Amino acid sequence: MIDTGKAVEQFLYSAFRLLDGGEFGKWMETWASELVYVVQTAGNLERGSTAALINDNRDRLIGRIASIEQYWHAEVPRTRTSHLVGNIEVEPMADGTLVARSRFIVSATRLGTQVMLAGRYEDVILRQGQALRLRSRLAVLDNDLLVAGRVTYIV
Amino acid sequence: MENLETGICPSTLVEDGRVHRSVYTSAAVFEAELDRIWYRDWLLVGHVAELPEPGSYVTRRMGRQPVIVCRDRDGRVRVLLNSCTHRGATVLRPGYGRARAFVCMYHGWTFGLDGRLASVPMRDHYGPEFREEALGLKEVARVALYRGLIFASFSDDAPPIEAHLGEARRFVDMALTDDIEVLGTMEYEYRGNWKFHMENTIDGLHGIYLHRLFGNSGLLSSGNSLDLGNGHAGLMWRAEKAKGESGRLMGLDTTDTSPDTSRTIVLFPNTGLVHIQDLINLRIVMPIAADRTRVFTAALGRRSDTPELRARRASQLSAVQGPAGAAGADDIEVFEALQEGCAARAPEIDWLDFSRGERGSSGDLTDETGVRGCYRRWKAMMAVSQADRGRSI
Repeated sequence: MIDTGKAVEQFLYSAFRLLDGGEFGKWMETWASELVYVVQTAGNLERGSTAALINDNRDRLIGRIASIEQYWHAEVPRTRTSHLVGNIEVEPMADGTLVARSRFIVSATRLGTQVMLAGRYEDVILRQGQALRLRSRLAVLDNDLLVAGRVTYIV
Repeated sequence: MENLETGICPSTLVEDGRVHRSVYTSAAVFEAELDRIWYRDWLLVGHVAELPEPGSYVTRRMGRQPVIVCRDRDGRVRVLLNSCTHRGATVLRPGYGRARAFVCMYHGWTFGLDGRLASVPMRDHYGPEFREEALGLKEVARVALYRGLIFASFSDDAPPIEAHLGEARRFVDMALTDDIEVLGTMEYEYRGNWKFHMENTIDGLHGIYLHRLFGNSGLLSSGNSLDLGNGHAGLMWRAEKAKGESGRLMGLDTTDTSPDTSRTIVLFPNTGLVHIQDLINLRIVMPIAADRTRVFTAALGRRSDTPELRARRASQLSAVQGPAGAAGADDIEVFEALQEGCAARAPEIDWLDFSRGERGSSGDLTDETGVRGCYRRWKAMMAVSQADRGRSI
């Protein structure tokens, strides 16, 4: 059990290292082939809203990465991010998957402005042989009001 | 600022086909806009789907003033100034929810959902001139509903809402049926003037330059820019359903290629209604300062929608038009670039061009006909006579 917890921690840390390092191709490899990536505000979650700030499947997440790397003017210059994740708790599920609950602080800095978003992750992680893959991530933001408007980075 | 301080009327800062940079940057122009536009005109403050039952409320701003938009015990929509009549504190902190009464946190003055002052602690310690009847939460002068949109105005003289909306009504009718529901909301701020949002909502050219992923999707094709009167304006265009790689990357349905009509509408000054493909996106623009604006945006659906259609409507806000969307994020980026850039001044460049399509066009999506209509309304309202000034302060 302790080994599983350590393995999940290492998996999350290395995935965030790739993300903050801008290695999006390698970061995409940490996801399972079918994926769900949702970023929702706590307020919308309380109200059971269908709409979310981000609600990506694999295609849309690839589109989001393409926007960061090629299309978004708002990513020239590129936002620098630091993802800090902690309070990680791992729960093995009957179907063999792992649910990891954690808290995050994401700092996003661009053009002299720093934005801090904070909240919790609820991750479903698949075991594929020795490797772990992220099947789904729900990121719930404490921030209901986006004070800097656009969110052109991965939370 | 320079213009007003030397006594120039701000209405002269707009001419047909051109706009002076100071309308975005001047704090004095902003103050005049509050007085002459925001505290006189009909403003959008919400949608009835946000208020499902008696006691439901949301807080909003009309210009700089905090308001409560709520349903009273009889189900009637009320718009009340969110300020205790005792010492002035907001009686509701910003947010949404359900209340049985509005109780001021400071000294416990308690107001009914209709604004009436219901109870005051230490009542018998006040003198004979103290009258509860006169101390209710101040109700905004006019409230009107159109297709579920809640409009309010500080002016007793505001025309009936149907007359005010005029030609724009039929575009609202196409988007907003009687069974609208809110699929989710987002609220964000940007460091730029409120009019950038107004201009952008009905700008038919920027899509292929500013929105490089969206612009490739085949969503934009032939159409028209429309001046709908009273400052209201719209874009309307025929579009193939999104095709190809970029459509797929935005999660749009690339298999359906039937022609479709899309439209975006501005109801002057603060309503944006974006009705593209499956998306029905309502925006309430709330100015904070000349260089700062808050936007409340809601993804709308219809109660008759299938779960699949509801999901498509919602995901179009996430993937395309919302603040983390392929298009929405860069709109915010350019609003801030505009605000920064408009600080640059020289007589040769002070007037910005809005003349495209004024001549030499037989009607095109990329014409600036609609935004010229917005600015005609702006100019007319800003030219209000000295006698009218300050009435609503």
